[in-house]
Formats: sequence, structure tokens, C-alpha cells
Amino acid sequence: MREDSDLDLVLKTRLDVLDQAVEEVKCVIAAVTAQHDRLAKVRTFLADGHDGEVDQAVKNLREHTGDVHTRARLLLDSLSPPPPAARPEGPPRPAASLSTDDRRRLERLLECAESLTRQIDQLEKSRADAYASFRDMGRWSVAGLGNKALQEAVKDYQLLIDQIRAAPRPWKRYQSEMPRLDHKLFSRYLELVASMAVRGFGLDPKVQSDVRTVIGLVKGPEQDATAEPLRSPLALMSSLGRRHMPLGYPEWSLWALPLLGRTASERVDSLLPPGVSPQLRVICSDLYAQYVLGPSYLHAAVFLEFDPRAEPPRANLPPDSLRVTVLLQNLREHSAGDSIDSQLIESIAAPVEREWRRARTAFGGQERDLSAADRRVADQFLGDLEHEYFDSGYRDEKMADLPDVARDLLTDRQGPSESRDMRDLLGAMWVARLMDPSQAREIHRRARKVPLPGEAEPTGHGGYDKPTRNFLWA
Amino acid sequence: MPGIAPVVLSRIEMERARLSSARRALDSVADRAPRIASVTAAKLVLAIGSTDDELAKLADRTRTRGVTLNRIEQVTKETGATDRVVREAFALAAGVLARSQGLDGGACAEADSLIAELADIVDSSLARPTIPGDTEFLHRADDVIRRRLPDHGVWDLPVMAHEFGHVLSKHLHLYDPGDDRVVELDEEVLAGWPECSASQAEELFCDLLACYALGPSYACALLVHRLDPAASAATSPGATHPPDAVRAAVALGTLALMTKGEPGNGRYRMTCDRIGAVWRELQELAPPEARLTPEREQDVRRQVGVVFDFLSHRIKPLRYDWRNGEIRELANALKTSELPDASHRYRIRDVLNAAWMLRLNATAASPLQAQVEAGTRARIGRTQEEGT
Repeated sequence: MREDSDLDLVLKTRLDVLDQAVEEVKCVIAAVTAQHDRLAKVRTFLADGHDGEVDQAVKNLREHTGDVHTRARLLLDSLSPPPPAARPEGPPRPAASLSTDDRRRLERLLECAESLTRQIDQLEKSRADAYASFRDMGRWSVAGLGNKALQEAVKDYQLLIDQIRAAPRPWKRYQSEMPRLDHKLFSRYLELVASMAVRGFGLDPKVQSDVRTVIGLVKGPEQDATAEPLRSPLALMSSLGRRHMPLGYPEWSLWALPLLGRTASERVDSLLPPGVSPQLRVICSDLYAQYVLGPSYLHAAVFLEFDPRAEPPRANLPPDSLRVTVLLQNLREHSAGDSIDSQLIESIAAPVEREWRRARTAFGGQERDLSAADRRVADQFLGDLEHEYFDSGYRDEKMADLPDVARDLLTDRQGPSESRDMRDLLGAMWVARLMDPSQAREIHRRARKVPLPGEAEPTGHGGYDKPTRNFLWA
Repeated sequence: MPGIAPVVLSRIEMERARLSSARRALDSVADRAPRIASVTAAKLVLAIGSTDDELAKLADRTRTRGVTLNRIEQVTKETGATDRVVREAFALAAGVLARSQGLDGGACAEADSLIAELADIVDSSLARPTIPGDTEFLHRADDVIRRRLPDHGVWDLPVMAHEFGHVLSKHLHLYDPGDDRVVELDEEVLAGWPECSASQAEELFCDLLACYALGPSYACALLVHRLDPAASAATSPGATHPPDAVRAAVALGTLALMTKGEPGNGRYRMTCDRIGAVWRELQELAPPEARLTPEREQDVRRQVGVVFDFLSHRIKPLRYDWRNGEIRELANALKTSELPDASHRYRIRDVLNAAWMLRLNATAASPLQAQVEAGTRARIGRTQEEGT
């Protein structure tokens, strides 16, 4: 059995993210199951016929009340003196004695039984109405959804993760499970959980807020945040063939957030000369994302997305190895020199390169670099970027602060203002993760507590302390 | 020799007149700076009084019993005493006058604040005022600290922590519950320094304490601004201060102990490492006799360890704790000319370390921005306002 520590950090990170996703879904399943049990109890309480506890009680009540009414009527009639005209002839018989008080009591009993019957009728009507409403609500409730398929999926995924970890060639096994290169297993699962919204319920508002924050950083403040349509959960539902339930902030979602950085195609296009190849355009999109978001983009791309294989050329995409090379070169331009800031930035770049190389050794293959012509275009692009979008750039000194911010995350210490720019937070999370991969979940938990600038209360952005806190039950 | 008595008596009276002038100068200190006078002048007034009493007795004896060689020697001795107290009294008065007229540019007020910040940790009554001087020192007559003016501005402010070390070494009483006795700090920290006289040992202790209380900013001020990397490392027994190379070894050894366990790619450790690298590079340019032998450096570092352990045990709250978040915020504020969060009170020590960190990080391609120094002073000024 392969030890988990034998895995390179890139693959280990991906499997850890999968693990977290599986755990998240397990929490959802547990919550849905508990909710389902509670709803079943309500259903048993309200249902028609033999299954319904209230219905049975109503019937019993009705029967007993009718019995009381009949007996009281019979007693009252039989012990009442007959009218004079109807008195029979013959010797007088001992008269049935019913005192006036007893008569009044019996008459009162009859009135109560009749009133009770009316109330039972009302109760029955209310129960029927409540049951109808409940059934209607149940159709919309996530707890009404069967979760067997999801449970099976969890088992399958968990088994697969374990198998990948134990495989003699884990990367090969990992990639053999991917339907295609840019739709990796982890991202499919990420979509599955991140998009667990059902029947019109959107993503967690805080998730949307964070996504908009990143998109705002990348595209600039002039962009209408609502103009960027979030991925429809319904489409994913149909593609995945599952029924889903809404849930709170996924435990691992911040890790992947920097990947949104390449959404600013308009800005990239505006700075590129006409006729640039699609591959070079992708490279420049990467550079733009790193320029704006800082090293967190490189981290997210390397540890969650890029393929370390020596992959064959693809039509419109440059090889991932080339993308990493260009991004690392770009980051290292900030670490040139001997200042403390430069050393700190180098301390960010070096582990990424080390782990990427380590993952690459599983496959071999040469490192690629841009051709001279493409390098000129990319350099010109970077120069124009500084000129046109200087204010959007992530500054060197902020980058150099990331190791210390990361250490604060690891040790749960915060500065006095306690708020943190989204880019700082994402970068520090990744730097902290590379400092101590075993604390990845704790890092994410702490990061969620850090308020972003402008957030009044340090409530953090999304997430839940208990698995059910942010569930939006229908 | 009846003819010479009036001459001697006249001289004694003139010395007493000088003392009267010194007393009047101290009165002016009380008028202009009552706080300084209340803390310091009383001791000096006592010294003036006792010197004057000695002169009065000497005059009386000379008048009644005549002039002898012994009395002439006493006149000489008391003249020396008069010189010392008069010089200190007028220096104090002149310093107070200079401060009150703003000739120090607020530098002494900054020094007062830093010293008060440190004193508050151990014993606020040990805060001593500062006045301008031609060099930094603590005068024993009045416990007033001199700040050298003009110096290198806010970059030299950490040197005041060294002078505060002199105050502590002389006045801090530590109760030892184990032995149920009160010990003077200097009893514990001044012995054991290799090849050092008592005054040199005290200087080394003050360097160590200043590093301990201020962190890298003191080492920066000391190594970059004050020490001579090319000066001989040989100890001169008559010198008040130890060789510069020894002082540097003490400062760097203290920083090494303070950052022990700190991550190698943390700013704290890197800032401390950088100042050590700067000193070593400077010393590489110096002649071999300017450097300590490995054995001697080891001896110095061993004693640094002993005193450091003592301070960590007995005055632990004084130890500087580098707070990443605070330093980051301050550094960003200093670079951008923004005022930091007004609701948060920053320590002067953090302001100084943030400023020095920026300075150490500056390169030829990315020089220190001009606003950093002004921002640092403004930040310390804000701290003063908040502290008052």
C-alpha cells in the first residue's frame, strides 16, 4: 500500500480537495437524511387512513363521542316521564326517577358531545388541509429527494480516491479517470457540490459575493457584476443526472477561486495585436490573471488544474507545462534582486516550481518555453498591462507579505484591522498550504472568518460551522 | 602666611557664587519644565547643596585656622566638584531651554515617549527625561538622558533604549522570591563579560537590553549608524566603551537568540539576518584586526546567552515581540503616506522596526521613499498624542 506522503504535492492536493468534497457531500447527505426522518414523522402524523396518527385519533374520538351521545340520549329518553296523554291505563307502576339536576346534567352532556363532534369535524378538515399543504411542500423539499444515488456516488468517489492513492502509478490512475483533460475528476466533483442548488435556489450569496469580488478585481470596477451570469446549477443537475440539495459555502471553494482570474478576455484582447494565436492568447490570459491576482492564480492552476503530463499539442490550448513555465518566469521577475521583498517572493515561487517539477518527473518530458517571437509579444503585453492597468496590478510588496500573512493564518493570528484584501487572502491561503499541507482545512476555515475590506462584521465569507447552518431548506 | 588667606577665601567665595548661579539655573528649569525638574533637579540640588556646604566649612576653617597645603588641596578638590555640578546644572538648563524653544525639532519628546514606553513595562518611575546633548549618555548627577543632536533623526531614536539600559542597570530592583531578597540588576548582568572593564560591561549590557526591548531597529541604528566596522577589535582598558566589533557581536547575538525558532522566510528573521549580513559585508572591507577571532566571538556570544536567559526569566515582558500584522500595516502606511487606523494605538517600537525594515529592503532600483521618515515621525507623534 502506497503511503500518502509518497505522493507529490500536486496530486496530493487534488486528492485532498476531492476528499473534502466527498466529506462535504457526506455532511449534506447526513443532514438530508435527518431532515427526511423528521418529515416522515410529520407525514405519519398527518396522513390519511391507517398510517395517519391524527386521522386514527379522530376516528376513535368520533366513535367514542357518538357512543357517549347515543347513550346519553337513550338514558334521557327512557327515564323521562311520558306525556299525560300517553300514560297507559292500569295500576300505577313505580315512576322512573330522574331528578331535575340529573336531567340537566344529561342534557349538558348531550350538548358537549354535539359540540365535540363539530370540533372533531373541524379538526379533521384542518388535518386534511395541513396534509395537503405538507404534501405540496414535500414535493419542493430537498429532504424529499432520494439520496441513494448520491450516496452511491460518494462511495464510488471515495473508493476511487483511495485507489488512486494506493495505485503504483497514481497520476496515471488519476488521469485515466478523467473524461477529458480540462474536465478533471476533481472539477466535476467541485461543480457537483458548488452547484448544489435546487429548484431555483441560487448559490450561497456569500459564494456569489466572493466570486464577484474576484471578477471585480479582474475585470475592474466598471463591470456590472450582475452581467456575469453564474453557472446555472440546473444545467449541471441535468448533466450529472442527480437530484441536488442546496448547501452552504463548500469547504474548499476558496482554493479554486483564483481560477476565475482568466475571465477578463476583453482586457486581454484589447492589449494584444491582431492575429495572435489562440495559444498565445491563453498564455496572456494567464499572465493577466497573475498580474491582477498575484501568485494565488499560479497556485490554483498548478495544484488544481494544470496537467503535469508531457501532453500532446492541442488545437487551441498551449501545453500546461509551457503555461507554468511562463507564469513562473513572470513571478520570478518580481523576485529579481537581493532585497528582502525579492527573497520573500522567491520563497513563494520556489515551492510551486519544486512541486510542479516533482509531479512532472512522473511523466518525463522537456520543459518548454515561448518562442522568441511569442516572448516579444508577451513582454509587450506585460509592458502594456503595467501602463494601462497599473492600478489593477498586485504589487510586489503585497506579494512579499504573503509568507507572513500565511503564517498568521497557520497560527490564527490577525492584524489589528483584521480585514484582508481578497487577493492577499487567497495568496496567503495557498502559501500557508504549501508551508503545511496537513493544515489545509484549518487554513480554509480560518480564511473564511477573515472579513474582506468593507465588511462590517467579521462574519467571514460563507461557510458553516455546523454542517446544516447555511442549508436553504425548501 | 597671613597674606594668602584672603586670596584663598576669595576663590572659595567665587566657587560658591558659581554654585548659586547653578541653583538659579535649576530654578529656571523648574519654571520652564516642571516635569523634568521634578524628576531630576532634586538630586542635582542636593549635590549643589552638599558641595556648597563643603566650601563653606572650608572657608570657615581657612578663616579661623589659616591656609595649609591640605586646605589648598581641598580647595582644588571642591573646585572640581563645583565644575561638575555647575556644568551639569547649566547643561540641564541649556537643554531645557533648547527643548522649550524647539531647537531639538521634537527629537527629545520622541525620545521621552520611547523611554516612557519601555519604562512602563517594568517600572514607570524609571522613565527619565531627555535633553539635547553633544552625545548620548546618562548623567549620574541628575539621571537626565542626553540625546545627541543633531543626530540621524528618527533612525537614531532606538539608541535611547541603550541609555534606558543604563537607568535600569542602576535603578531596577528585582525581588527574588526564592531567596527572599532584592537584588540590583547590575549585580546580575555586569559580571562575566570577557576582557571588559565595569563600564565596558555596562555598555554591552545596555546594547543587549536595547536589542532585547526594541528588536532589530536598535541593531540597525547601532551597526549602520554608530559602529565603525574598521575599528580595532582590541580592547582598550581605559576606554569607556568596548570595541565596536564586540558591540556588534552582542547585538547580532541577541537578535539571533530572539529569532531562534522564527521561520527562515519570515520578515522578522529575514530583517535580522539582513542586518547581520550588512555588518559582515562591511567588515570584509576592514583590516583583519577589526574582526573578532572566532574564539572571542564565541566567548561574547556565550555571555550574551547568559544575560539573555536572565532577562527572559526576570524581565520577560520587556522582550520585543515582532507582530507581523502590525508591522505590515505600519509599513504599508509609511510607504503610502496614509495614516494607520486611528483607533489603534501603535507602539513606537513597532513604528521604528517597520521603518527600518523598509530601509533595509530598499535597493538602488527601489530606493527608500522620502515620505517614510516623515511618516515615521508623524506616526510617533501620533503615539505621543495618544499617550498623553
